[in-house]
Amino acid sequence: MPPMHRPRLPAIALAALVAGAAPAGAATLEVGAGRTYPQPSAAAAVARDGDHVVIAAGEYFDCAFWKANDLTIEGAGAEATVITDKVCGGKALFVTQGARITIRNLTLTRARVADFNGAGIRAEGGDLTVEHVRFVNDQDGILAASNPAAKLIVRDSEFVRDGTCGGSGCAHGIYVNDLALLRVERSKFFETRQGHHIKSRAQRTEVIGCDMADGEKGTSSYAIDVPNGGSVLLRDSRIQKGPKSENHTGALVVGAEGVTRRTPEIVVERNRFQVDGDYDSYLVVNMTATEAALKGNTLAGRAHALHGDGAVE
Amino acid sequence: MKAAPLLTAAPLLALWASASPAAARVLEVGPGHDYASPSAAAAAALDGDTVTIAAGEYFDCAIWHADRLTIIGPGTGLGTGPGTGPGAVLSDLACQGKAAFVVQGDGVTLRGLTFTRIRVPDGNGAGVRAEGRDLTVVDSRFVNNQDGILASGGGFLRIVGCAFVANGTPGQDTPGRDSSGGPPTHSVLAGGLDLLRIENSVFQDARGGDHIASAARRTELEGNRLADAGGYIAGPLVAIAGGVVTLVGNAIDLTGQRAGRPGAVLVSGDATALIVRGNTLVEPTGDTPLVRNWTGLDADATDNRVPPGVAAVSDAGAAYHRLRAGMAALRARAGAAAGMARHGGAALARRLGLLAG
Repeated sequence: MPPMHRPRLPAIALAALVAGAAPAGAATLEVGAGRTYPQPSAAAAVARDGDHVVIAAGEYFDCAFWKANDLTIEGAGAEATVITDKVCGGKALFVTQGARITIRNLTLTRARVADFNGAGIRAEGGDLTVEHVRFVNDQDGILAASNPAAKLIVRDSEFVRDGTCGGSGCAHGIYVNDLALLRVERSKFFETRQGHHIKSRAQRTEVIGCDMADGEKGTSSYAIDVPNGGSVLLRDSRIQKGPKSENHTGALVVGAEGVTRRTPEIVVERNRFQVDGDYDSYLVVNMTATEAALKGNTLAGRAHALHGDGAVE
Repeated sequence: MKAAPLLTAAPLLALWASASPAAARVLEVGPGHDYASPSAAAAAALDGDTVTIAAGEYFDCAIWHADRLTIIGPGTGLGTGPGTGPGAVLSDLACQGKAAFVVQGDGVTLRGLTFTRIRVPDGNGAGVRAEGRDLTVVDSRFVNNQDGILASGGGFLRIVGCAFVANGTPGQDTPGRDSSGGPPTHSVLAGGLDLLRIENSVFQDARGGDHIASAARRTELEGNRLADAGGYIAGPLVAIAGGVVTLVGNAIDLTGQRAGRPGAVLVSGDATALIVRGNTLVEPTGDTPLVRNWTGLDADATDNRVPPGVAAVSDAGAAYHRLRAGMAALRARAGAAAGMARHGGAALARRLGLLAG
């Protein structure tokens, strides 16, 4: 059965229901020049639970609130579909307010707001999955509000030249508040500015198979800041601190703002930590009472393994 | 007997109510009780209340404002307590960046509790921070905190039948050890109290600073057991800055001996009495006295058991130390406090002085 298009007629929806086709009313909304919806925001205004939003190649000077649940919002490729500059609600290019949203295959770039926390995505709903998305030159790449039941999963994505400090704090590549889980897989962070590549107040933070580098120009602080404790898994990742890093303390720092989360485990395995600067830095600075377990990590330059409680194998 | 007429009874009741303080209550904490957590009870507690905390682990911290509170866990099996387990365990959370329990009221008693895993970013997270006057801590355990008990209030701090295990951090000046970046921390750190009294308590496996550091006007240690084994205290196990000092019937085990320790107990500053009686020292190297006395005052030392060749009380170095401390004090009076802080003889005073601020 071919995908349905807006405007949605009651008779068609009913027919689909009777025919026993996929979720009642779920539709594909096509966005792009010459299509039903010229801009993502036009599709967002009518999207209903379960819809599939397809954004054609092109540059969109636009921003959108995604309020429906179970949306899939998909571009034509990270290089092809680019959302740029315009910020909704003083927050982000995409503000996700529904539950179980997936965003993939596009670029979110140049988000700036006056209070320094303009984001590519502001996550305010439930679970959010981000795949093959590039966040370039935003204040925050992804900023997630507190929702202790929600999971944010990021895969195969890139965060380039995000981050800034100003106003009342700093912005970061990914900055999440009290979520159940932040999992970042196979993603790249490069030339983050002043902030951290990742700052997470989640109950559990997983960073797996990622590449986090300052390069020659990046001014990042910690690579991963877990300021209030919570479980941490850092595995199979490469972290490089460069000569312009503005905070030499460490790559993964747990508890720097005081422990307010239960911290069942801190596991750091098979990572490579390289310091390309004239300073000492720790792979792990653990300020919680939970013993960090470091295993099979490689250190280069003036990198050291662990400061604080734990054991190094 | 006839019921009293209402008109008569009402003024009598009013008189009774105004004459006696609000009736002390018992606030019960734990699953299924009125208060789910110690902090919930702390918010409701009034002067004179008793708070009972059921066995279990509480990921919680509390600020106790009321006076004359008695806060009781089910016991730890230590000292005088009836319990056999860890009792009520306060874990991980520090209030105000200070402690699991911040005690601001006067005349508070804590009994039968365990405080563990307290860490704060500036390195002095405590099981208990005493900010009021006259705190008594009985039959409680302090395990793996930056500080066990940190007293910055006034009056007395009395510790009876408690255990202090694996507390402390080494501080930034300890070679070869990671540190908090701040000064060393301790099992018990008492600032300008009238009296610090510790009885029948156990100190072991310290992770950095001295077990006990006191600048109280009177420091009394009686019947305690202190050991360095399992930990890594580089300096004395007890450091006392002046006042009236009484050490009676303590057992100190330096089997995990390190070179260069001035004494198991170091007493410096301006003391007015130093009584060292009936203590036992186990010391395998013959290098370390029971008490290093840098006060310039003669100690009253009797009936102490120390290994052959080891002094119960040694005054060696006192003249030099006091000269340096005196110079430092002069410098401080001249307003050069920063210069003072760099001199080793003033290090303890500096740490304790920080607390008063």
